[in-house]
Amino acid sequence: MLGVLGCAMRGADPEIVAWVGSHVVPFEADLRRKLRYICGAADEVDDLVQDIYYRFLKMRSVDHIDDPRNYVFQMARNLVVDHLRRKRVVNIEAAQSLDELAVFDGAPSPERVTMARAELKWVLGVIARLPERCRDVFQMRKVYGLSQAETARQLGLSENVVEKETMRGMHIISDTVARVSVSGDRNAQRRQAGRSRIPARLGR
Amino acid sequence: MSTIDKEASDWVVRQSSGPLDEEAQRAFEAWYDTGPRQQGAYLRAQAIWRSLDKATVQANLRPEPPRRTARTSAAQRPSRRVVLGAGVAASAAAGLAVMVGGPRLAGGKILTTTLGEVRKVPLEDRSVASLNSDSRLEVSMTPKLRRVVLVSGEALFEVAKNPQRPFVVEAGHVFVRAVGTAFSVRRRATGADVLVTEGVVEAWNAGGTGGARRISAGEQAFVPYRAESISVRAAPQEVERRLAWREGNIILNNQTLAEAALEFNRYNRLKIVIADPALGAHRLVGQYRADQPEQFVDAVQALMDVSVSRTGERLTVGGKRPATTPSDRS
Repeated sequence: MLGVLGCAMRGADPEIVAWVGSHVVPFEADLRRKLRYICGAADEVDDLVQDIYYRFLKMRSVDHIDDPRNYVFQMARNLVVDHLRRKRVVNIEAAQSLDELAVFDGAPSPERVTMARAELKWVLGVIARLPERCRDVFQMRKVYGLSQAETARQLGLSENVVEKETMRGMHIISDTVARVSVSGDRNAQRRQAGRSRIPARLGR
Repeated sequence: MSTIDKEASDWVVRQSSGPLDEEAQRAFEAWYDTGPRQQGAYLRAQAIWRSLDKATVQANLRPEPPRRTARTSAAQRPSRRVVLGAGVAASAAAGLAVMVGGPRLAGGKILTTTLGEVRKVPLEDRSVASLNSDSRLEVSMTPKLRRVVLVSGEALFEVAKNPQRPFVVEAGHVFVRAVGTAFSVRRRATGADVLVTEGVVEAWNAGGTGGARRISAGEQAFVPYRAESISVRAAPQEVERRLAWREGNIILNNQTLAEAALEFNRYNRLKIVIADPALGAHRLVGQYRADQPEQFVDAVQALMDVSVSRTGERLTVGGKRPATTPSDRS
Protein backbone atom coordinates (compact mmCIF):
# COMPACT_ATOMS: atom_id res chain seq x y z
CA MET A 1 0.00 0.00 0.00
CA LEU A 2 2.83 2.38 -0.59
CA GLY A 3 3.08 3.69 -4.08
CA VAL A 4 2.10 7.18 -3.09
CA LEU A 5 5.71 8.18 -2.85
CA GLY A 6 6.63 7.82 -6.48
CA CYS A 7 9.07 10.70 -6.26
CA ALA A 8 12.00 10.44 -3.94
CA MET A 9 12.77 14.14 -3.93
CA ARG A 10 9.35 15.42 -3.06
CA GLY A 11 6.97 14.50 -0.29
CA ALA A 12 7.70 13.26 3.20
CA ASP A 13 9.39 10.19 4.57
CA PRO A 14 6.91 7.25 4.56
CA GLU A 15 7.27 6.98 8.30
CA ILE A 16 6.22 10.59 8.74
CA VAL A 17 3.31 10.11 6.36
CA ALA A 18 2.13 7.14 8.41
CA TRP A 19 2.62 8.98 11.67
CA VAL A 20 0.72 12.02 10.44
CA GLY A 21 -2.01 9.71 9.13
CA SER A 22 -2.42 8.26 12.62
CA HIS A 23 -1.84 11.26 14.83
CA VAL A 24 -2.81 14.40 12.95
CA VAL A 25 -5.43 13.45 10.35
CA PRO A 26 -7.91 11.92 12.83
CA PHE A 27 -7.85 15.10 14.94
CA GLU A 28 -7.77 17.65 12.17
CA ALA A 29 -11.46 18.49 12.59
CA ASP A 30 -10.92 19.33 16.29
CA LEU A 31 -8.00 21.53 15.34
CA ARG A 32 -9.97 23.33 12.65
CA ARG A 33 -12.85 23.97 15.00
CA LYS A 34 -10.52 25.77 17.37
CA LEU A 35 -8.76 27.65 14.62
CA ARG A 36 -12.07 28.81 13.17
CA TYR A 37 -12.96 30.25 16.52
CA ILE A 38 -9.79 32.28 16.61
CA CYS A 39 -9.33 33.22 12.97
CA GLY A 40 -12.83 33.36 11.65
CA ALA A 41 -12.07 33.24 7.92
CA ALA A 42 -12.14 29.78 6.35
CA ASP A 43 -9.23 30.41 4.01
CA GLU A 44 -7.05 31.47 6.91
CA VAL A 45 -7.85 28.19 8.61
CA ASP A 46 -6.94 26.23 5.47
CA ASP A 47 -3.73 28.19 5.34
CA LEU A 48 -2.83 27.43 8.95
CA VAL A 49 -3.68 23.76 8.61
CA GLN A 50 -1.53 23.45 5.49
CA ASP A 51 1.24 25.18 7.40
CA ILE A 52 0.99 22.63 10.20
CA TYR A 53 1.29 19.76 7.74
CA TYR A 54 4.17 21.58 6.08
CA ARG A 55 6.05 21.61 9.41
CA PHE A 56 5.68 17.85 9.64
CA LEU A 57 6.78 17.47 6.04
CA LYS A 58 10.03 19.18 6.94
CA MET A 59 10.69 17.00 9.98
CA ARG A 60 13.34 14.32 9.78
CA SER A 61 11.83 12.26 12.52
CA VAL A 62 8.86 12.27 14.85
CA ASP A 63 10.50 10.04 17.44
CA HIS A 64 10.82 12.90 19.91
CA ILE A 65 7.06 13.48 20.10
CA ASP A 66 5.60 11.87 23.20
CA ASP A 67 2.13 13.27 23.17
CA PRO A 68 1.12 13.79 19.54
CA ARG A 69 -2.10 15.66 20.17
CA ASN A 70 -0.58 18.12 22.58
CA TYR A 71 2.29 18.60 20.23
CA VAL A 72 0.03 19.41 17.29
CA PHE A 73 -2.07 21.81 19.31
CA GLN A 74 1.00 23.52 20.74
CA MET A 75 2.39 23.85 17.25
CA ALA A 76 -0.91 25.32 16.08
CA ARG A 77 -0.79 27.85 18.88
CA ASN A 78 2.66 29.03 17.87
CA LEU A 79 1.65 29.33 14.24
CA VAL A 80 -1.42 31.33 15.19
CA VAL A 81 0.75 33.70 17.18
CA ASP A 82 2.93 34.28 14.12
CA HIS A 83 -0.15 34.62 11.99
CA LEU A 84 -1.76 37.19 14.29
CA ARG A 85 1.45 39.18 14.47
CA ARG A 86 1.50 39.52 10.71
CA LYS A 87 -2.02 40.87 10.69
CA ARG A 88 -2.49 44.61 10.95
CA VAL A 89 -5.54 44.43 13.11
CA VAL A 90 -5.38 41.91 15.88
CA ASN A 91 -8.61 40.64 17.26
CA ILE A 92 -8.20 40.94 21.02
CA GLU A 93 -10.67 38.18 21.70
CA ALA A 94 -8.74 35.91 19.37
CA ALA A 95 -5.54 36.64 21.23
CA GLN A 96 -7.25 35.73 24.46
CA SER A 97 -8.35 32.34 23.21
CA LEU A 98 -4.81 31.47 22.26
CA ASP A 99 -4.03 29.72 25.47
CA GLU A 100 -7.11 27.62 25.12
CA LEU A 101 -5.86 26.44 21.78
CA ALA A 102 -2.84 24.80 23.30
CA VAL A 103 -5.05 22.71 25.56
CA PHE A 104 -6.79 19.92 23.84
CA ASP A 105 -10.27 19.71 25.29
CA GLY A 106 -11.33 16.35 23.91
CA ALA A 107 -11.39 13.14 25.83
CA PRO A 108 -8.28 12.27 27.83
CA SER A 109 -5.51 10.97 25.63
CA PRO A 110 -6.68 7.53 24.62
CA GLU A 111 -4.46 4.55 25.11
CA ARG A 112 -2.74 3.25 22.05
CA VAL A 113 -4.97 0.22 21.97
CA THR A 114 -8.22 2.13 22.20
CA MET A 115 -6.94 4.62 19.69
CA ALA A 116 -6.18 2.00 17.06
CA ARG A 117 -9.69 0.68 17.45
CA ALA A 118 -11.25 4.14 17.24
CA GLU A 119 -9.20 4.88 14.16
CA LEU A 120 -10.33 1.74 12.40
CA LYS A 121 -13.96 2.59 13.11
CA TRP A 122 -13.38 6.12 11.93
CA VAL A 123 -11.73 5.03 8.70
CA LEU A 124 -14.45 2.48 7.96
CA GLY A 125 -17.02 5.18 8.74
CA VAL A 126 -15.36 7.63 6.37
CA ILE A 127 -15.46 5.06 3.57
CA ALA A 128 -19.04 4.06 4.38
CA ARG A 129 -20.21 7.64 3.85
CA LEU A 130 -19.14 7.80 0.23
CA PRO A 131 -21.72 7.69 -2.54
CA GLU A 132 -22.24 4.21 -3.92
CA ARG A 133 -19.84 3.84 -6.83
CA CYS A 134 -17.14 5.76 -4.97
CA ARG A 135 -17.60 3.48 -2.02
CA ASP A 136 -17.27 0.38 -4.20
CA VAL A 137 -14.00 1.74 -5.51
CA PHE A 138 -12.66 2.57 -2.04
CA GLN A 139 -13.72 -0.77 -0.65
CA MET A 140 -11.82 -2.52 -3.39
CA ARG A 141 -8.76 -0.34 -3.11
CA LYS A 142 -8.55 0.22 0.61
CA VAL A 143 -10.49 -2.58 2.28
CA TYR A 144 -9.45 -5.32 -0.11
CA GLY A 145 -6.13 -3.70 -1.01
CA LEU A 146 -6.53 -4.07 -4.77
CA SER A 147 -4.63 -1.95 -7.28
CA GLN A 148 -6.38 0.51 -9.56
CA ALA A 149 -6.19 -1.96 -12.45
CA GLU A 150 -7.54 -4.86 -10.35
CA THR A 151 -10.30 -2.64 -9.02
CA ALA A 152 -11.29 -1.74 -12.55
CA ARG A 153 -11.46 -5.42 -13.51
CA GLN A 154 -13.45 -6.39 -10.42
CA LEU A 155 -16.01 -3.66 -10.90
CA GLY A 156 -16.17 -3.88 -14.68
CA LEU A 157 -15.15 -0.24 -15.05
CA SER A 158 -12.40 1.39 -17.06
CA GLU A 159 -9.26 2.39 -15.19
CA ASN A 160 -9.98 5.96 -16.13
CA VAL A 161 -13.37 5.84 -14.44
CA VAL A 162 -11.84 4.20 -11.36
CA GLU A 163 -9.29 7.00 -11.15
CA LYS A 164 -11.99 9.66 -11.50
CA GLU A 165 -14.08 7.98 -8.81
CA THR A 166 -11.04 7.72 -6.55
CA MET A 167 -10.38 11.44 -7.00
CA ARG A 168 -14.01 12.27 -6.30
CA GLY A 169 -13.96 10.05 -3.21
CA MET A 170 -10.76 11.63 -1.94
CA HIS A 171 -12.31 15.10 -2.24
CA ILE A 172 -15.21 13.93 -0.12
CA ILE A 173 -12.95 12.18 2.37
CA SER A 174 -10.67 15.21 2.58
CA ASP A 175 -13.74 17.26 3.43
CA THR A 176 -14.87 14.70 6.01
CA VAL A 177 -11.44 14.79 7.65
CA ALA A 178 -11.83 18.56 8.00
CA ARG A 179 -15.26 18.24 9.61
CA VAL A 180 -15.37 14.98 11.52
CA SER A 181 -12.77 13.98 14.07
CA VAL A 182 -12.08 10.53 15.39
CA SER A 183 -13.12 11.61 18.86
CA GLY A 184 -16.10 13.77 18.24
CA ASP A 185 -18.43 12.50 15.60
CA ARG A 186 -21.64 11.27 17.15
CA ASN A 187 -23.32 10.34 13.89
CA ALA A 188 -20.54 8.18 12.64
CA GLN A 189 -20.28 6.48 15.99
CA ARG A 190 -23.97 5.74 16.05
CA ARG A 191 -23.79 4.40 12.57
CA GLN A 192 -20.94 2.11 13.47
CA ALA A 193 -22.49 1.15 16.79
CA GLY A 194 -25.69 0.23 14.99
CA ARG A 195 -23.77 -2.21 12.90
CA SER A 196 -21.50 -3.57 15.54
CA ARG A 197 -23.80 -4.04 18.52
CA ILE A 198 -20.82 -3.26 20.64
CA PRO A 199 -21.51 -0.39 23.01
CA ALA A 200 -20.07 2.81 21.61
CA ARG A 201 -17.89 3.11 24.67
CA LEU A 202 -14.32 2.59 23.58
CA GLY A 203 -11.81 0.68 25.59
CA ARG A 204 -12.45 -1.65 28.45
CA MET B 1 -11.90 22.35 0.94
CA SER B 2 -9.41 24.69 -0.67
CA THR B 3 -8.42 24.31 -4.31
CA ILE B 4 -4.90 23.47 -3.20
CA ASP B 5 -6.18 20.59 -1.10
CA LYS B 6 -8.16 19.27 -4.06
CA GLU B 7 -5.13 19.51 -6.34
CA ALA B 8 -2.98 17.77 -3.74
CA SER B 9 -5.40 14.92 -3.36
CA ASP B 10 -5.67 14.50 -7.14
CA TRP B 11 -1.90 14.18 -7.38
CA VAL B 12 -1.85 11.58 -4.65
CA VAL B 13 -4.56 9.56 -6.42
CA ARG B 14 -2.76 9.79 -9.76
CA GLN B 15 0.49 8.63 -8.18
CA SER B 16 -1.22 5.76 -6.41
CA SER B 17 -1.63 3.76 -9.62
CA GLY B 18 2.03 3.92 -10.59
CA PRO B 19 4.71 6.43 -11.51
CA LEU B 20 3.58 9.46 -13.48
CA ASP B 21 4.67 9.82 -17.08
CA GLU B 22 7.37 12.37 -17.76
CA GLU B 23 5.08 15.22 -18.63
CA ALA B 24 2.82 14.68 -15.64
CA GLN B 25 5.83 14.33 -13.37
CA ARG B 26 7.09 17.73 -14.51
CA ALA B 27 3.65 19.24 -13.94
CA PHE B 28 3.57 17.71 -10.47
CA GLU B 29 7.01 19.01 -9.57
CA ALA B 30 6.11 22.50 -10.76
CA TRP B 31 2.95 22.41 -8.69
CA TYR B 32 4.73 21.01 -5.61
CA ASP B 33 7.48 23.59 -5.81
CA THR B 34 5.00 26.45 -5.82
CA GLY B 35 5.31 26.74 -2.06
CA PRO B 36 4.68 25.51 1.46
CA ARG B 37 0.90 25.53 1.12
CA GLN B 38 1.05 23.04 -1.74
CA GLN B 39 3.59 20.94 0.11
CA GLY B 40 1.59 20.96 3.33
CA ALA B 41 -1.56 20.05 1.43
CA TYR B 42 0.34 17.28 -0.32
CA LEU B 43 1.48 15.71 2.95
CA ARG B 44 -2.06 16.03 4.24
CA ALA B 45 -3.47 14.20 1.20
CA GLN B 46 -0.79 11.52 1.44
CA ALA B 47 -1.48 11.04 5.12
CA ILE B 48 -5.22 10.76 4.52
CA TRP B 49 -4.66 8.24 1.73
CA ARG B 50 -2.31 6.31 3.95
CA SER B 51 -4.66 6.38 6.94
CA LEU B 52 -7.31 4.68 4.81
CA ASP B 53 -4.95 1.72 4.56
CA LYS B 54 -5.85 0.90 8.16
CA ALA B 55 -8.91 -0.68 6.69
CA THR B 56 -6.67 -2.96 4.60
CA VAL B 57 -4.55 -4.18 7.46
CA GLN B 58 -7.71 -5.60 8.92
CA ALA B 59 -8.80 -7.02 5.60
CA ASN B 60 -6.14 -9.70 5.43
CA LEU B 61 -8.65 -11.87 7.19
CA ARG B 62 -10.04 -13.02 3.92
CA PRO B 63 -8.16 -15.36 1.64
CA GLU B 64 -9.52 -13.82 -1.55
CA PRO B 65 -11.19 -10.60 -2.71
CA PRO B 66 -14.88 -10.88 -3.50
CA ARG B 67 -15.94 -11.70 -7.00
CA ARG B 68 -18.66 -9.44 -8.09
CA THR B 69 -19.89 -7.55 -11.09
CA ALA B 70 -20.39 -3.85 -11.50
CA ARG B 71 -24.03 -4.24 -10.64
CA THR B 72 -23.86 -5.91 -7.27
CA SER B 73 -23.94 -3.90 -4.12
CA ALA B 74 -20.90 -2.73 -2.27
CA ALA B 75 -22.09 -3.62 1.17
CA GLN B 76 -22.63 -7.25 0.37
CA ARG B 77 -19.74 -9.19 1.76
CA PRO B 78 -18.51 -12.47 0.45
CA SER B 79 -17.28 -14.51 3.34
CA ARG B 80 -20.49 -16.36 4.09
CA ARG B 81 -19.83 -18.44 1.02
CA VAL B 82 -16.26 -19.12 1.86
CA VAL B 83 -16.26 -21.93 4.35
CA LEU B 84 -12.95 -23.66 4.28
CA GLY B 85 -11.62 -26.46 6.38
CA ALA B 86 -13.42 -28.52 8.94
CA GLY B 87 -12.33 -27.41 12.41
CA VAL B 88 -15.10 -27.06 14.96
CA ALA B 89 -15.49 -24.93 18.01
CA ALA B 90 -16.01 -28.06 20.07
CA SER B 91 -12.31 -28.76 20.23
CA ALA B 92 -12.14 -25.43 21.98
CA ALA B 93 -11.92 -26.18 25.65
CA ALA B 94 -9.14 -28.73 25.37
CA GLY B 95 -6.17 -26.49 24.68
CA LEU B 96 -6.77 -24.11 27.52
CA ALA B 97 -6.76 -26.48 30.42
CA VAL B 98 -3.93 -25.83 32.77
CA MET B 99 -2.36 -28.70 34.62
CA VAL B 100 -1.02 -27.73 37.95
CA GLY B 101 1.00 -30.30 39.82
CA GLY B 102 4.20 -32.21 39.32
CA PRO B 103 7.37 -31.77 41.27
CA ARG B 104 8.03 -28.58 43.17
CA LEU B 105 11.47 -27.23 43.79
CA ALA B 106 12.78 -26.56 47.24
CA GLY B 107 14.17 -23.05 47.52
CA GLY B 108 13.42 -22.30 43.89
CA LYS B 109 12.69 -18.88 42.54
CA ILE B 110 9.11 -18.46 41.41
CA LEU B 111 8.20 -16.42 38.35
CA THR B 112 4.62 -15.76 37.36
CA THR B 113 2.61 -13.75 34.85
CA THR B 114 -1.02 -12.74 35.08
CA LEU B 115 -3.58 -12.92 32.29
CA GLY B 116 -2.43 -10.84 29.35
CA GLU B 117 1.05 -10.26 30.75
CA VAL B 118 4.20 -11.27 28.91
CA ARG B 119 7.43 -11.02 30.87
CA LYS B 120 11.07 -11.45 30.03
CA VAL B 121 13.18 -12.39 33.02
CA PRO B 122 16.96 -12.78 33.12
CA LEU B 123 18.03 -15.80 35.14
CA GLU B 124 21.16 -15.88 37.26
CA ASP B 125 23.07 -18.06 34.79
CA ARG B 126 22.56 -15.34 32.13
CA SER B 127 19.86 -17.36 30.40
CA VAL B 128 16.63 -15.54 29.74
CA ALA B 129 13.11 -16.83 30.33
CA SER B 130 10.15 -15.16 28.58
CA LEU B 131 6.85 -16.04 30.19
CA ASN B 132 3.66 -15.95 28.18
CA SER B 133 0.29 -14.92 29.60
CA ASP B 134 -0.93 -16.64 32.78
CA SER B 135 2.15 -18.80 33.35
CA ARG B 136 4.19 -19.99 36.31
CA LEU B 137 7.80 -21.10 36.51
CA GLU B 138 9.97 -22.35 39.33
CA VAL B 139 13.69 -22.01 38.82
CA SER B 140 16.44 -23.64 40.84
CA MET B 141 20.11 -23.32 40.00
CA THR B 142 22.58 -25.81 41.43
CA PRO B 143 26.25 -26.20 40.49
CA LYS B 144 25.47 -29.30 38.44
CA LEU B 145 22.08 -28.50 37.05
CA ARG B 146 19.84 -25.67 35.97
CA ARG B 147 16.35 -26.87 36.68
CA VAL B 148 13.14 -25.13 35.69
CA VAL B 149 9.63 -26.39 36.37
CA LEU B 150 6.93 -25.07 34.09
CA VAL B 151 3.97 -25.32 36.44
CA SER B 152 1.51 -23.82 34.01
CA GLY B 153 1.33 -21.85 30.78
CA GLU B 154 4.17 -21.33 28.34
CA ALA B 155 7.69 -20.01 28.42
CA LEU B 156 10.54 -19.51 26.03
CA PHE B 157 14.12 -20.05 27.16
CA GLU B 158 17.23 -18.56 25.67
CA VAL B 159 19.80 -20.70 27.34
CA ALA B 160 23.32 -19.49 28.10
CA LYS B 161 25.86 -22.09 26.93
CA ASN B 162 27.34 -24.23 29.65
CA PRO B 163 27.96 -27.91 28.80
CA GLN B 164 28.93 -28.65 32.43
CA ARG B 165 25.56 -27.54 33.69
CA PRO B 166 22.58 -28.79 31.70
CA PHE B 167 19.42 -26.74 31.53
CA VAL B 168 16.34 -28.91 32.07
CA VAL B 169 12.73 -27.86 31.87
CA GLU B 170 10.10 -30.06 33.44
CA ALA B 171 6.49 -29.84 32.37
CA GLY B 172 4.56 -32.53 34.19
CA HIS B 173 6.22 -35.76 33.15
CA VAL B 174 7.83 -34.15 30.16
CA PHE B 175 11.48 -33.18 30.32
CA VAL B 176 13.36 -31.02 27.88
CA ARG B 177 17.12 -30.63 28.13
CA ALA B 178 19.27 -28.04 26.44
CA VAL B 179 22.87 -27.03 26.66
CA GLY B 180 22.95 -23.73 24.81
CA THR B 181 19.92 -23.07 22.69
CA ALA B 182 16.54 -21.33 22.50
CA PHE B 183 13.26 -23.16 22.82
CA SER B 184 9.80 -22.83 24.26
CA VAL B 185 7.63 -25.20 26.25
CA ARG B 186 3.89 -24.87 26.55
CA ARG B 187 1.74 -26.95 28.80
CA ARG B 188 -1.35 -28.45 27.22
CA ALA B 189 -4.00 -30.72 28.64
CA THR B 190 -2.34 -34.00 27.61
CA GLY B 191 1.26 -33.05 27.00
CA ALA B 192 3.66 -30.23 26.23
CA ASP B 193 4.47 -28.42 23.00
CA VAL B 194 8.16 -27.88 22.46
CA LEU B 195 9.31 -25.37 19.84
CA VAL B 196 13.00 -24.93 19.07
CA THR B 197 14.31 -21.72 17.53
CA GLU B 198 18.03 -22.29 17.94
CA GLY B 199 20.31 -25.27 18.44
CA VAL B 200 19.09 -28.68 19.61
CA VAL B 201 17.23 -29.93 22.66
CA GLU B 202 16.38 -33.39 23.90
CA ALA B 203 12.91 -34.15 25.14
CA TRP B 204 11.68 -37.23 26.93
CA ASN B 205 8.91 -38.53 29.05
CA ALA B 206 9.59 -39.65 32.60
CA GLY B 207 7.48 -42.80 32.24
CA GLY B 208 8.55 -43.63 28.72
CA THR B 209 10.98 -46.25 27.53
CA GLY B 210 11.64 -44.81 24.12
CA GLY B 211 14.47 -42.56 25.32
CA ALA B 212 14.99 -38.95 24.40
CA ARG B 213 14.08 -37.42 21.07
CA ARG B 214 16.25 -34.73 19.57
CA ILE B 215 14.43 -31.63 18.42
CA SER B 216 16.36 -29.14 16.29
CA ALA B 217 15.93 -25.51 15.34
CA GLY B 218 12.79 -24.95 13.29
CA GLU B 219 11.12 -28.09 14.58
CA GLN B 220 8.10 -28.46 16.77
CA ALA B 221 7.20 -31.43 18.89
CA PHE B 222 4.35 -32.59 21.01
CA VAL B 223 5.48 -34.60 24.01
CA PRO B 224 2.60 -36.40 25.77
CA TYR B 225 2.52 -36.64 29.57
CA ARG B 226 1.72 -40.30 29.23
CA ALA B 227 4.32 -42.69 27.95
CA GLU B 228 3.36 -42.32 24.34
CA SER B 229 5.49 -41.56 21.35
CA ILE B 230 6.77 -38.06 20.71
CA SER B 231 5.94 -36.49 17.39
CA VAL B 232 8.48 -34.12 15.86
CA ARG B 233 7.98 -32.13 12.70
CA ALA B 234 10.02 -29.51 10.87
CA ALA B 235 8.01 -26.29 10.60
CA PRO B 236 10.22 -23.23 10.93
CA GLN B 237 7.49 -20.77 9.94
CA GLU B 238 5.03 -22.38 12.29
CA VAL B 239 7.56 -22.13 15.12
CA GLU B 240 7.98 -18.41 14.46
CA ARG B 241 4.24 -17.91 14.18
CA ARG B 242 3.58 -19.62 17.47
CA LEU B 243 6.18 -17.51 19.22
CA ALA B 244 4.66 -14.21 18.04
CA TRP B 245 3.50 -13.67 21.62
CA ARG B 246 6.99 -12.48 22.44
CA GLU B 247 6.16 -9.29 20.54
CA GLY B 248 2.63 -9.23 21.91
CA ASN B 249 1.14 -10.46 18.64
CA ILE B 250 -1.09 -13.24 17.47
CA ILE B 251 -0.34 -14.39 13.96
CA LEU B 252 -2.93 -16.42 12.13
CA ASN B 253 -1.91 -18.42 9.11
CA ASN B 254 -4.84 -20.56 8.13
CA GLN B 255 -5.99 -21.18 11.69
CA THR B 256 -9.73 -21.44 12.20
CA LEU B 257 -11.76 -18.68 13.79
CA ALA B 258 -12.36 -21.05 16.71
CA GLU B 259 -8.62 -21.50 17.22
CA ALA B 260 -8.07 -17.77 16.88
CA ALA B 261 -10.69 -17.10 19.55
CA LEU B 262 -8.94 -19.52 21.93
CA GLU B 263 -5.66 -17.82 21.25
CA PHE B 264 -7.07 -14.37 22.09
CA ASN B 265 -8.76 -15.79 25.17
CA ARG B 266 -5.37 -16.82 26.54
CA TYR B 267 -4.51 -13.16 26.94
CA ASN B 268 -7.68 -11.35 27.83
CA ARG B 269 -10.37 -11.20 30.43
CA LEU B 270 -12.75 -10.27 27.62
CA LYS B 271 -13.50 -13.67 26.04
CA ILE B 272 -14.43 -14.28 22.43
CA VAL B 273 -17.21 -16.82 22.03
CA ILE B 274 -18.08 -18.26 18.63
CA ALA B 275 -21.80 -19.00 18.71
CA ASP B 276 -21.99 -20.70 15.35
CA PRO B 277 -19.74 -23.77 14.87
CA ALA B 278 -19.81 -23.40 11.08
CA LEU B 279 -18.44 -19.92 11.50
CA GLY B 280 -15.72 -21.21 13.80
CA ALA B 281 -14.38 -23.30 10.95
CA HIS B 282 -13.47 -20.33 8.76
CA ARG B 283 -9.75 -20.11 8.24
CA LEU B 284 -8.03 -16.81 8.75
CA VAL B 285 -4.81 -15.07 7.87
CA GLY B 286 -3.53 -11.98 9.61
CA GLN B 287 -1.56 -10.44 12.40
CA TYR B 288 -3.18 -8.88 15.44
CA ARG B 289 -2.28 -7.44 18.81
CA ALA B 290 -2.93 -10.11 21.41
CA ASP B 291 -4.43 -7.54 23.77
CA GLN B 292 -6.99 -6.27 21.28
CA PRO B 293 -9.73 -8.87 20.97
CA GLU B 294 -12.22 -6.13 20.16
CA GLN B 295 -10.25 -4.99 17.17
CA PHE B 296 -9.98 -8.54 15.92
CA VAL B 297 -13.70 -9.10 16.38
CA ASP B 298 -14.46 -5.79 14.67
CA ALA B 299 -12.45 -6.94 11.71
CA VAL B 300 -14.17 -10.32 11.68
CA GLN B 301 -17.51 -8.58 11.80
CA ALA B 302 -16.75 -6.03 9.13
CA LEU B 303 -15.27 -8.51 6.73
CA MET B 304 -17.20 -11.72 7.27
CA ASP B 305 -20.62 -10.12 7.57
CA VAL B 306 -21.48 -11.60 10.93
CA SER B 307 -23.15 -10.20 14.00
CA VAL B 308 -21.27 -9.42 17.17
CA SER B 309 -22.70 -8.75 20.58
CA ARG B 310 -21.06 -7.90 23.83
CA THR B 311 -22.38 -8.91 27.22
CA GLY B 312 -20.17 -8.24 30.19
CA GLU B 313 -16.85 -9.96 29.49
CA ARG B 314 -18.09 -11.93 26.49
CA LEU B 315 -17.83 -10.99 22.85
CA THR B 316 -20.16 -13.30 20.99
CA VAL B 317 -19.57 -13.73 17.28
CA GLY B 318 -22.37 -15.14 15.12
CA GLY B 319 -25.72 -16.39 16.27
CA LYS B 320 -28.89 -14.43 15.81
CA ARG B 321 -28.45 -11.60 13.37
CA PRO B 322 -29.24 -8.11 14.63
CA ALA B 323 -31.85 -5.99 12.89
CA THR B 324 -30.64 -5.03 9.44
CA THR B 325 -29.38 -1.51 9.10
CA PRO B 326 -29.49 0.35 5.80
CA SER B 327 -25.75 0.22 5.37
CA ASP B 328 -25.85 -3.58 5.30
CA ARG B 329 -28.22 -3.79 2.41
CA SER B 330 -27.75 -0.73 0.30
